[in-house]
Amino acid sequence: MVLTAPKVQFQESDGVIRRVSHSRVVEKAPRPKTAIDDDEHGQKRLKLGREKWRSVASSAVIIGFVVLVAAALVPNSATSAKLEPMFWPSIRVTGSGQNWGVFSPEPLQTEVRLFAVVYFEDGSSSHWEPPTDNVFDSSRAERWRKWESRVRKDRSSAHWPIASQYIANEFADDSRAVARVRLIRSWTQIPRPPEPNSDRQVNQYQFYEWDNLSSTGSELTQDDQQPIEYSS
Amino acid sequence: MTSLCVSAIKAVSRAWERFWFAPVSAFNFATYRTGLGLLTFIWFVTLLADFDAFFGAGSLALEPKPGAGWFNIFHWLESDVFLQFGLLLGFAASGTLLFGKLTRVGGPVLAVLLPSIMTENLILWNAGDDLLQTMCLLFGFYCLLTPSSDLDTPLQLRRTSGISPSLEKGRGWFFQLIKMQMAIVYFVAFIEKVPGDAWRNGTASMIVARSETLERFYTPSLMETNYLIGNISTWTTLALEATLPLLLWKRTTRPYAIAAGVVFHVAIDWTLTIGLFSWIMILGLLAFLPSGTDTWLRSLERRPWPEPVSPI
Repeated sequence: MVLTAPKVQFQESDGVIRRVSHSRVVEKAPRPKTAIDDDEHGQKRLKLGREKWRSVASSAVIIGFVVLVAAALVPNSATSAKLEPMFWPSIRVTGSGQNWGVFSPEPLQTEVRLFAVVYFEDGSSSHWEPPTDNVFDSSRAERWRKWESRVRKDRSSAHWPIASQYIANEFADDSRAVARVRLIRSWTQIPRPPEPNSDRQVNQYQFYEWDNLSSTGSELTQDDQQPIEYSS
Repeated sequence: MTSLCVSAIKAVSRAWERFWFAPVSAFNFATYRTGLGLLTFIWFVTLLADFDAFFGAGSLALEPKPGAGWFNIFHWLESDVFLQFGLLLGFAASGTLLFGKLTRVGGPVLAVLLPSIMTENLILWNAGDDLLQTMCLLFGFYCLLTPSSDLDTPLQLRRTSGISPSLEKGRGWFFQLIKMQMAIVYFVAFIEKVPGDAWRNGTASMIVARSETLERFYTPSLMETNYLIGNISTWTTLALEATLPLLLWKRTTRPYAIAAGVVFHVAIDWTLTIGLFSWIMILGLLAFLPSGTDTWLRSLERRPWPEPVSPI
């Protein structure tokens, strides 16, 4: 709807021409396109195009994520064994492994700690254990707990030389040179109710020894166990 | 037959559009973005104390297996200087989300940084870290596909009344994915617990309370010994994990389900040393906030405090 110029009508009467109306008339007439209109139209089309592209790309992300989650949720079976090599790298990178079975099917049965005895060249020895006294920084204690619980397992033997070297380096400032590092796992069974929580038997096993002078390590057996004593 | 197929496809397309691309409240989005920024910032802070112990040369990190580092930027930038630079970048990127400035840059940076750092030492992380990684990755994609004007929406309660403003239509898919993920977390946690004897006979929470390595703040010894308290807390855990996936989706029960979930996770965080897990779960619950939350909060703010009653 656009307003046009005033439309004036005239009438001849007695040889005299008189104006009989003078009013604004509204007409439905298309306004000729201007450069501004073309620009606005183009902007709208561009925006619509962008939104469409966004919608398609968002749908692709949604489908991709849903497929990964579905693949991760397939129960252990021949199908999951086939799917694993295909999807596992992407599942790991996206953190979509869906391992939410916290404390399941049973809560903790055993509490495990890892510590080390460091032997110096002068015959003295010392003790190392991960920091655990962080009540307020819960994340720090949790990460060391995760590290302990995973490193102590036999299938994590690749971590043992690295852990031993790290522990040896922790004593680098000491005036004494580190000769050997012995890794020890200790564990207790959590008593089930109604047994009292105080009745705990602590077990220990020395599972790895690192020779810091020759930079070699060896797994320990039952015969290699020796009394644990620290001189400092 | 063809027209039937066409109408079926159109119906599916409409349903897809309705579910994934529903409008999302600007206030809810800003709340979630700020929460994600705050949690990632804290996550980076918690790495500081043991950064040298867990990452880089001479640390406890195992050399990644070949092929394991394809998404790890530090696999390509081998010097430890880049790791430290990555940590600084992490703080900056978290800040962009926290303050709602340059979110479009910060979001994708976090999406790349978190998996990269986590790949550097694979044996440190718990379920909370995995969930945070997923949230950051999805948010990174969301940032790439959403204009800055929406991403940088300020977190504030409007002073004027009326309908709560929404982000532009089509921006709801990120929240829908987070909601789906949260429902799966609870559902899987419940399903995996069901076969456990201790969960069924109601003593599981008593056993967890006895753990010395997980113990955090003070909990009464009754938690370890009293069967009534033990049974209630064990079966409440199971009941919440079984029902929250449904109650959180249903509009009428949603506010109560969110409140129950928050109390549940705060209680877990008080009792157990599990890092940021509880707070990341609470952040996930924020994705379920109803669209009128800001209006409700505003009405609370305006409600006059009751006048003190004179004793005479």
